[in-house]
Amino acid sequence: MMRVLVPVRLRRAVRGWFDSRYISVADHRQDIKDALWEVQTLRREVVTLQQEVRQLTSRTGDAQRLSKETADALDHVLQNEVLVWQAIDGLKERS
Amino acid sequence: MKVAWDGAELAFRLDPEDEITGRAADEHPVKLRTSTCAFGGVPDDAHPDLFAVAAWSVVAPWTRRRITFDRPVSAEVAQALHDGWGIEAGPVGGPPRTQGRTLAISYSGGADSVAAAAIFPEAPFVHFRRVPHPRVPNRWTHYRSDVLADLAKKTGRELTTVTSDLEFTLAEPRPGYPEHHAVAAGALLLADRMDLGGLAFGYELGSRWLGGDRYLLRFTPDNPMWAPHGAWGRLFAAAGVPIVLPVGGVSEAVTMRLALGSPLRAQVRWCLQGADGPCRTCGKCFYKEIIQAAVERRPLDTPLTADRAVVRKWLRKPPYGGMEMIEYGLARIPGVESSILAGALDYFDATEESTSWLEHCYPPALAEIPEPWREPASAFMAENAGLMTPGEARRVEEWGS
Ligand SMILES: [Zn+2]
Repeated sequence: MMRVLVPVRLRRAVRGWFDSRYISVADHRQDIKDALWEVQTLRREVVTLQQEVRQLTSRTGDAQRLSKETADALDHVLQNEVLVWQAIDGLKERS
Repeated sequence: MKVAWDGAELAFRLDPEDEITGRAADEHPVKLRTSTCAFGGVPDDAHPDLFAVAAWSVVAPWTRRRITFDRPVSAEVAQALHDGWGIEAGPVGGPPRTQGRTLAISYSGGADSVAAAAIFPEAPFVHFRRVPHPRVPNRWTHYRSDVLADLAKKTGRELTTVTSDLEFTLAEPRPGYPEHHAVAAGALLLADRMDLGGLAFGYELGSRWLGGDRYLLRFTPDNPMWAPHGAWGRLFAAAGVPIVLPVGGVSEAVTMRLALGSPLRAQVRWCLQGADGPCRTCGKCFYKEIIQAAVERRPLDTPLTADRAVVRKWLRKPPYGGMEMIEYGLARIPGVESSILAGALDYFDATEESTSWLEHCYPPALAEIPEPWREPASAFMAENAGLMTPGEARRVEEWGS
């Protein structure tokens, strides 16, 4: 079963990371909100694909194709997550 | 790049100049999938330099200008990162790690690492075992890391198995080590506990001196991955774990012969796919079958046909990595002219004489093994392979020119 990011978990991760190592949360709450919005958009795409997979499990060929596409889509979500963090850090450095 | 360890879990973050697509030390482009990975079977209190070098083996391809660790590294490690990659590393502080006394073998179970193990029969093994990444659907279930780990247990040698999902940080070309050295990340974290003063790899003549694998295909005395004075060699040495290549001076024909003649013969396994035995149909199995048939002086024994992609790979025009072993096979496999490998004869004038250099040891490979392991390795090679003549050594030094 695939695991996707949930906002609460992500938000906690953001705070934990920033608190412990780099900057205070308060200064950059808006940056983080923007970033979360992006991640959530991507997450919705994956959820849609997952639902499609569930609906089509009886049709093996389609299910196989969709599971591959879902996995590929998740790769992009994971990569985008890395880029979002990079953008947050970039904003932090400029401010 | 910023890296942070939580116990034995590594998380990293790209700096503005870093990119998702990077290059490994062998110039191969590699694409990042996700920026976390974890290790099992390692302590969480290793020297900071060991955490730093282990992290670097994962993040190096994607780091452009600087790296920020979560704990200070020694000036020696920072200097090695600067000299080897032009990377600013920090924070800097604290003493370097004191080199230990034990040589461990990074043990994959393939013929090359079994040959390295035969040279040092007392050396403990560290085995890297791939495990799934919690965030990445596993589309590579044919890769039987469990089988390889079980075989390593059956060797009877002192064994530490490190589990990790670090290969899934790599999206393209496929899951794998971001740098070849990432296979040693777990061994590095174990270095204090095991009192390591050196780590032996099964990299042979082709990888070390002929620019083999996916590298340059020419004579590479300054190989950045495996030369002691190369970037990686200096970095490992700075952490008190110099790289040792016991079979760096001999070809895969010699490592095959040594492995098949060793007490670990029953545990040798280069195929990553078969469960009860080698699958015999993957590219690795076919390549090793060519070498084994040549070493054993018998006809090729394979279910494959010449139209299969894994066979056609060895029928194309040189140069390509491993071509020296194809020539070796053409010179020594009985009936090769009527085998599925016959097409390769168009490209080589293979004779036993033209391939004799592949049966002996290249002396400079022994000279670069650090003490106290140089003497036993040299004595072993003199007795079991013999040294190359100056003429044979020239074949190495003129490779690809
Ligand atoms: Zn195989």
